[in-house]
Amino acid sequence: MEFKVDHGSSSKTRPIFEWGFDPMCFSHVKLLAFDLLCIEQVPHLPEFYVRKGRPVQKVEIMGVVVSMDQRTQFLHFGLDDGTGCIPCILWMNDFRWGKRGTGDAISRRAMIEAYATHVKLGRLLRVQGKVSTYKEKLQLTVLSVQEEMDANAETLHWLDCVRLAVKCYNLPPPLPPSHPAKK
Amino acid sequence: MERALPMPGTPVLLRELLQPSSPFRTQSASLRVLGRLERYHAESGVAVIVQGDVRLGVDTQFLRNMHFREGSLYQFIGELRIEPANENLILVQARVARNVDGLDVDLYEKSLELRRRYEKKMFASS
Repeated sequence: MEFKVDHGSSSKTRPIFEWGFDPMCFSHVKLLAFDLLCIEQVPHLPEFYVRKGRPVQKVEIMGVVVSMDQRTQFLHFGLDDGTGCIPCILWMNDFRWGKRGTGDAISRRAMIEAYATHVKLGRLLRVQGKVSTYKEKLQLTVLSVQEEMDANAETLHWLDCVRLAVKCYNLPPPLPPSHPAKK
Repeated sequence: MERALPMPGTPVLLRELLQPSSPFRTQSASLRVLGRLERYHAESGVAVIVQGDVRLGVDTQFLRNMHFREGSLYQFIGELRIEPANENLILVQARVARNVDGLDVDLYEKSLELRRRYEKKMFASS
């Protein structure tokens, strides 16, 4: 089933210099797959995406691993939450947090290897990552992976996503302190 | 290199799937089904799951490293196979399975209903 959701035209988007006042800009936004697959990339700002006029960079999703492809440099897997299938990529050579050979880099490497061991077909994973685009298709660059052992975790994630969308993400962004209406 | 992902398994309750007019009842539809394992035939690889008083056969021959225990709750993601000669004969060809013992089934059903309503509302606004 193909989903298409209107996430609002960019004309409703607040000016880019005000995005920093929006908590959605820096937090991991909890989204269902169908919602995530329809966010729009901001022209000229490839790191930013917009959902209903509000900025999104990082997201948190949960689903069952339905495909995986392990290579030397990366682990590619598909996460299915029932509304869509999200392609995720975990870079095995991602040492941005420390120089090669230093303690930071070694601990980061150990962390990535630990994340990779969680990725197995049929496992329920909570994945936090950065939204990116590869060959004009949306994918998630993985920042952290957590295996969920509680069978109810997915149900609670669905409820969280719906509650947050209705009570927060679908609402207009908060006004910055300098906005005339705030004075 | 472009990687094709499988279609998402739409969660469906067994009683919805087994209704003759069910919209989920389409040949090769990707579905996610949930049920308690009633029987497992090791030779044929067919598992029979039950939810309430409704039963469904699941073909598990493509699954690896799964140990089935009768009485446990399982979730399967796979494709629906409808027998062309008899549309009442349906089976899910599973590609992924997971044990979900401890799942609150009532909460799951209510949450699924709520999630569907939310999805519908989002599509209606488009």
